[in-house]
Amino acid sequence: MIKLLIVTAVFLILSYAAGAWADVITPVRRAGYSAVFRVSLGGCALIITALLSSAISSALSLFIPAAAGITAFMWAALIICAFIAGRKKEKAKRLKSDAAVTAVVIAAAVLQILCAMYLRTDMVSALDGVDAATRVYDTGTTFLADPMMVFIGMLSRLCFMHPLELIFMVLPAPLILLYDLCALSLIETVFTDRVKRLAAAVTTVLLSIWGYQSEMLIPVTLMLKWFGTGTFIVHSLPVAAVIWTDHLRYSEKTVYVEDEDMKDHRIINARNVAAALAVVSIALIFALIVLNNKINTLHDATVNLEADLNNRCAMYEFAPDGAIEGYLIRSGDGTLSFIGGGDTSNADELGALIADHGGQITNWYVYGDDDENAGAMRQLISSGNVGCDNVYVIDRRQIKVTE
Amino acid sequence: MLKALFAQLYTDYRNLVGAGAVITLFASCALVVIVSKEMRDRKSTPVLLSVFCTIGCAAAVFFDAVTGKCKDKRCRIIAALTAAAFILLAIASSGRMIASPEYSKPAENHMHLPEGLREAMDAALTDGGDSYVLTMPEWEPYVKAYSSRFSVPSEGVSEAHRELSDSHPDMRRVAQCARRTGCKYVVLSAGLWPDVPITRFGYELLYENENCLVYREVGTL
Repeated sequence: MIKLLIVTAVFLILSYAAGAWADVITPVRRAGYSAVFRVSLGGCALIITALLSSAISSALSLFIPAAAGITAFMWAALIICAFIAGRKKEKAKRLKSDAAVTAVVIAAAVLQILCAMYLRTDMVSALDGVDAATRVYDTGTTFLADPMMVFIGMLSRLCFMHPLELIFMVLPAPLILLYDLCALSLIETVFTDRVKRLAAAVTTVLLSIWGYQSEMLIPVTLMLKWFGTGTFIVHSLPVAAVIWTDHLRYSEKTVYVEDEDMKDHRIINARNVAAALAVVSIALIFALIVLNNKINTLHDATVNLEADLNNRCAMYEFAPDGAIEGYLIRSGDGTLSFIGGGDTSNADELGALIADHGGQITNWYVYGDDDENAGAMRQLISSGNVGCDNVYVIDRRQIKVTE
Repeated sequence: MLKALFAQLYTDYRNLVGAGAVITLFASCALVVIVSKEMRDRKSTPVLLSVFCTIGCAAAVFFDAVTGKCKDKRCRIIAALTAAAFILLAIASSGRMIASPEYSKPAENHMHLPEGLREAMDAALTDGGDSYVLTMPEWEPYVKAYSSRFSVPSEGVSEAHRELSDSHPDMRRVAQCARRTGCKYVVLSAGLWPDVPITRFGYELLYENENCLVYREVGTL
């Protein structure tokens, strides 16, 4: 718990420091930003820098101390450059976050963090890729792998914790909190009214709790794979949306043209057509996804069908001229038995049948010792075409069963 | 053909409810965001970059649209509760609750490993490790994530996995699979009830606890 608090506190402080880039990238005179946005931006910048440094270290196969040094250097450069660049610009105004909405989001984040730390899910595929972090941790060297896993392996070695312990006991706090704050910063930008902000924020955090969609989407599911690269990409997009929204609002206004304005009021205009096309596209994409799932299900069902059939007990008739001369039995464990066989004229066809199934008979049951019943058997075994462990003669006599 | 396609889509949607629900919800909410005058006036359409924020903002717009029409306080409260209930229903049907008994259980340890598995893997590591391990299909990610000295075969183990999914597995086939793939260790659940134990097929018991059994190939050092 102490390591969790220390790591979270250090991460938030560094995020706030790195968030000084907000003074550089926001249109300063008109837009402002809140502390929530600053921490979100700084946190995302730190993670992107860490991924970049991990990728560089992996490409060079550096030892962990060197990799950690590169990461620390890049983080320091990020923060120092932010302050230097921001100093030359006029400071943006600081907006105040709504305390009530922020408290609700942080409370929800704490609930999510506790669920991530103390509940174990059955969806073990969420651990795919963690073996790379374990390898970095065990060997002390980086190698080419998912940069996020390399970074986690490096961090776990520096914290003297196994990667699994770091992932489940430490990382939920800073990461889940960061992603929830990213969403909050976007909601604060979109709405100014407290009630709307609250409705949007509560909806957004509740969506994570009902967040299991399918096996396919586990890599981007917050409550299952908060430590994954896919989750970072998906849940850091609100920060990009904030920057884009500020740019749309506060960039130079275009000159008003009446004809352009009238176009917006027609039923069939570019916006409505785009909306209709978007709906059709989404419906088609959904259809494709469903069909793809169906095809994959069929493929999974059939991919092992041949192996399944081969592992079951099976019986084959031997009927060279239409009349049944014998039966080949394959047991579930793969051993072959044969009943019958006939005379030497059947030898070639019978030899081909047995060769198709492995060429080795464990038990051969013939109806008599004479050539008419055992001729094919004797010829195949004596020529070496077929191997046989045991031969038995069946005393076949018809009996009448009377009541 | 189109009718059959849509009928099949509906059937598959019923079977896969939850798998595509958030996509449907996002599509609906994206439409709300695009056509909302407030969102357009405030140039907030970049919110579409975020799936969850789009749904959240659409919920807020919907909530405001429902409650805004009411003039008196009582009507506003009823409208607010109705809108909130509708939003909660949409959220609950958008996916499956991760923190439910169906998908989760209390973690037994800090590494979220099944009980007893850590000790079992430590026993194999103490014995020597550095080998391929055949284990229960649902334990493979844990074995791979626990130590880089363990390797899990990626091919040739489907037959063993099929057997180990049964409570009465054929241990001869499991042992054959393990030897064929070079697995020195076999880690099994103590909840299996094979007719013939794997010790009859070239593996000896190395370690056992309440939940796990570790076998080592006979004759290997």
